[in-house]
Amino acid sequence: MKKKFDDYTWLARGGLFGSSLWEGPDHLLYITSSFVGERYRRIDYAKIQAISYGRTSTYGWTMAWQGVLLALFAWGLLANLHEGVFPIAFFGTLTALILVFFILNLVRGPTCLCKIQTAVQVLRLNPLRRIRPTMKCVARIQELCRMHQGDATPSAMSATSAVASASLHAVPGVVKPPFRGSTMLAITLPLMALAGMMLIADLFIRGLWFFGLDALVTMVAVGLTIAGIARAVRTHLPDALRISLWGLGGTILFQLLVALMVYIASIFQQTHQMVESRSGQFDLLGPWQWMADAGFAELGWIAWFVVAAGAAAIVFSIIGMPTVFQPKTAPLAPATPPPAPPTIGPAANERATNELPPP
Amino acid sequence: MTAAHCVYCNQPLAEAQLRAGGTVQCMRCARSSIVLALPALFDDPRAKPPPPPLDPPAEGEAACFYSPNRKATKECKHCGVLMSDIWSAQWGAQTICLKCLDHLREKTKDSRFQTSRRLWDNITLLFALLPFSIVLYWIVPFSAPAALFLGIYHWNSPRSLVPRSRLRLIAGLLIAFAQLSAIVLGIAAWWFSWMR
Repeated sequence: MKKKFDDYTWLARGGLFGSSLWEGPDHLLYITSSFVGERYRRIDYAKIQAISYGRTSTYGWTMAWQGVLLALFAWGLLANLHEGVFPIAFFGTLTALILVFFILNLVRGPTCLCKIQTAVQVLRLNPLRRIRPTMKCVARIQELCRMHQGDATPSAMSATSAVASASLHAVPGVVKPPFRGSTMLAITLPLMALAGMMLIADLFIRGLWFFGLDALVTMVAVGLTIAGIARAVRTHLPDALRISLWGLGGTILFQLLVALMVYIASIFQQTHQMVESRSGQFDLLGPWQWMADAGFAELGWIAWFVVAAGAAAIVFSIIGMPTVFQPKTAPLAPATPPPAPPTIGPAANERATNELPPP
Repeated sequence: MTAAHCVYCNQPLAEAQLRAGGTVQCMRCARSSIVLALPALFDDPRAKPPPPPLDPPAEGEAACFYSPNRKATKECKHCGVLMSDIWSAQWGAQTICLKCLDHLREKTKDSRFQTSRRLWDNITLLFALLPFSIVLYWIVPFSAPAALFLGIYHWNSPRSLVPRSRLRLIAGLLIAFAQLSAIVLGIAAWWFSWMR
């Protein structure tokens, strides 16, 4: 990987598609990548006002779900040791894959969130997601900023701020408004619960018609859930609703994984039948018919994953329903007033009264 | 002074905590974070910089090309004119005049002004690899020609700002070529078996 090009020196890299941070002669170059394009942001060192970072719980949650999957696949491997080559290869591959990611996550260490503030924006730096590289990188950026802003000592900064604070006004950043209900979530949560129930019922009800109906309801519910999450996160959510929405987000990913497992099982089943019957013809509707009619006997241990996916959808939907269906007369998030700014002195207070812009 | 914000909930942080530095606890979400306040935070954003003092050239001294009533202090590295400080800009390690800067931005579309770029090598590789996904195997008669066309058409297009080789482009073209060859051979084999 390149560490230097033109005037730039590499600082950090991270994110899904390899976003990166580069140290330039008088600015920071931040490259955000999607697979099909890149976006470049240049932030002058002289204009950076503050750098802040703090720990996140992503590390813990990642260890938790990877640990659960590792335990499940390892149990599947041990339970199928005498069943033949295919189950061993299948579970062995999955176990090895999850183990690699688990160890990688453990070695890379705790996760964090890092933001840079200028006069016009507060920018999250995606490459800085782990505490250890973030601390090194932030120290370097701070050193560069002090070189370009003048190396003000803490006492000098205090003296200037005592006078300047009289004209305190906020950066045009976003403070999330409290959640005040959502019609979309009022439809989405019950629909997601229904989708979960139909997913479990699909193990007992045979027929392509019910399978199709279940797929349709699930797709609509998933789409609405994703849209609902995207809208709701712009507000300050109550704890129950936040747990419900993020739990449903995780459940959707889990359901996709389970759907993929069932689809692969159906393909293998069809291939096995084709080989046994020596017909040489692959029925295109065969896998779908098999999935529609599959129950506990056909799916085996995969059926329990299906039950878990459905149950998770039901549980997380129910958690969020009381908040969403609360009468709108009461505010849904506790409206805590912002703390009063600290007073500095009588002269500064008088100046603040004269100079502060009207709300 | 502008306010620093909590990294979690964007609530403005108390000035006294910022002045103390180090770990700061937000009063709204009660989470602690490290906030490094820099001198720019304490500048008054409404204050305008003072106008540069008049600096007429003395006898025998060079005058600025753009403002003849000012002494020339720098030379533009692109066009070579002598200019005063107010007409100069730092462009990486070089000092250039504002007219050359505008030319770099508007006419030559210098890469240092670019804010985004399409990665055609990645797109070519994506088109070539799409059929290998389980559910999109049927797309190969469309994706392979598309990958070939994009790879050849964008052979000389700029890639990432961070210099890299054409490896992805070549890989995409080779895979697409192999896919098209397989389709053509398959059709030919079916045709000859039908003719018999």
